[in-house]
Amino acid sequence: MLLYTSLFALGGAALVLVTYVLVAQTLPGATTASTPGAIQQSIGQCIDAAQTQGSSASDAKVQCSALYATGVQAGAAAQRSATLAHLLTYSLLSLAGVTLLAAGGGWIVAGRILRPVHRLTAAARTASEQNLSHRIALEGPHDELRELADNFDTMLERLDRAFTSQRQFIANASHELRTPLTVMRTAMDVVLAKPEPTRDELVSMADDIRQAVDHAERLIEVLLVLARNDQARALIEPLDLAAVAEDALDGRRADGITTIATLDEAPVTGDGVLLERLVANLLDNAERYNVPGGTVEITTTADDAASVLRVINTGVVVPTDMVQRLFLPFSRLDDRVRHNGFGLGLTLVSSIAAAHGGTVDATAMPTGGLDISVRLPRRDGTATPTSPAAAPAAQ
Amino acid sequence: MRVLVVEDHVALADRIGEGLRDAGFAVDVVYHGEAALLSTARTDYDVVVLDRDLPSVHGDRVCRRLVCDGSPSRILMLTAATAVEDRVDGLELGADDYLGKPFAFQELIARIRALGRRGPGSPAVVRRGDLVVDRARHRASRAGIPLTLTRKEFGVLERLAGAAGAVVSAEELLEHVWDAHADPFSNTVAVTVGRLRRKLGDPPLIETVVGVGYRL
Repeated sequence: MLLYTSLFALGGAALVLVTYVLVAQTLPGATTASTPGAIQQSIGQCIDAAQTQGSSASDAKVQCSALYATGVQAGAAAQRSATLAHLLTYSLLSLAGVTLLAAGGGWIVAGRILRPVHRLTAAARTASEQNLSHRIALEGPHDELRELADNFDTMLERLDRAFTSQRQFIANASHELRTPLTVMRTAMDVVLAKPEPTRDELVSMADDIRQAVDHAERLIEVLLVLARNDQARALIEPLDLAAVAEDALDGRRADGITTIATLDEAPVTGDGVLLERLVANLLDNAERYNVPGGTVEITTTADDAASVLRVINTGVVVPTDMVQRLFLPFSRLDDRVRHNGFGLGLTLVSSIAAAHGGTVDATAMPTGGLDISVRLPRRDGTATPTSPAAAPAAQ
Repeated sequence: MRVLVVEDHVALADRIGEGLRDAGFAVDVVYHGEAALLSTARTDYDVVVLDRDLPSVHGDRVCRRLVCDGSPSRILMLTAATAVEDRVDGLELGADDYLGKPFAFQELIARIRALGRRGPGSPAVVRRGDLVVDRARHRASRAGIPLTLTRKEFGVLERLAGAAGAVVSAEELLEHVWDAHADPFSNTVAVTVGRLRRKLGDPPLIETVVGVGYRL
């Protein structure tokens, strides 16, 4: 504010100076400095000459005209200095007035302009104190500040969503881990509370505990893969989805379900272990939610931009609104099979696909079952491998 | 006391049932919400141990239905959702108690007993003359001498003592002391009451009201 006022005052002063100098140069210069005494003398001579008319009339005319010229010059000089003095005085006065006005007006305008900035600052402070639900919601014209505030709101919203989903994920994970813990604890509490537990009872307790430990172990493994997926990985292996799918299909045998594989070349760049996991998870799901005597179709193809893996399975009809929820952690299509899986299969699939810069699309088949396709960037001779760090930025 | 365990994890449900039977409760176990609603419609359980995250009919809905239908059963919610909001939610749905998983089995037993004692006219310790029935500790004594009773015998005694002198029918005893596997046409109640009479000694305390039931 002070800076603005001083700059304004300096600029004003410079303007006054320039105007003064320019005006001073433009006004006719005072070359003959005739004193009032000399003028008085000339007037006297002129009157004399006028009184002694006749012989020296022409002489008097000359003298008078000279006198006239001197008078005009003196008048001009006096006017010039008066004008310049006035100019300087009024300029300085106006400058002082305008500077004061500018300071006052600037104060008000700056307050108005800076108000959204203050709100931005306050919002940033609130957000940094772990409350991401606050929004600035700036109103007014669509100017730069409004744009900044809107962008800030969008960023807060994305952060909020990310944190919420992460919290939800952790809550769900701990919820899921409680189940095996409860099984273990209950088995021990119940059997060891018996006065004389029989061998069979002890064996059944150990059996329960082993199953619970297995369950917890598998769950932790999946959670670790999910967590690791978010970190940067060197996804640089040149791979063919057809080969990856073949590896995943190898040794897999689902009772009463026919698997039809059509595997064409589908070149990609990525991590072989993760991609095999992706295919295996899709197949697991397709078999788990299938109907007896159903089919699982797996195809790999490539178009100009992408290599596509598609898994279609028969099964029960999936409501359309359920389809997107399937990708959320710990959601299951059918509650009755909850203890066979963790509800993390498709979450893992979309996480691995995202790490490879790809996308997953799921459609519910009208006749029942799901059609899931995974599109990954196609690898060709010149393509640079997609790094996981670049993937989110490209979206 | 008759307890219904509703839990979708089969191994866990069976284990809880086993533990509760060991602790002297008459226990039925079901694995989903629909079965829970069927069972509670058929039998007035003293306590329902209800998992919240149930398939077919969600535990919350089972709880709501029981409360709205004016079921006399006390509801103990048993779930892995243990955040404060979850506990408040569960209790506001009408549950009488809330226990988070994993839990200590002793605590579950103690809580079920506490729930069974609730309500008017059912104090923890019941005295009838020189007979003392401690429902909290599951012990009984007559004239200061501790009685060694089987679980069923204690169950019958507890029920009779709790009735405050009213007649308790054999059907009621069968419903609250035996589980769903008991044969309703057998004379198992009469046999147990007979054994209980012998253990209680003289002068006789349990009176048979012919055609109606028993009275303490």
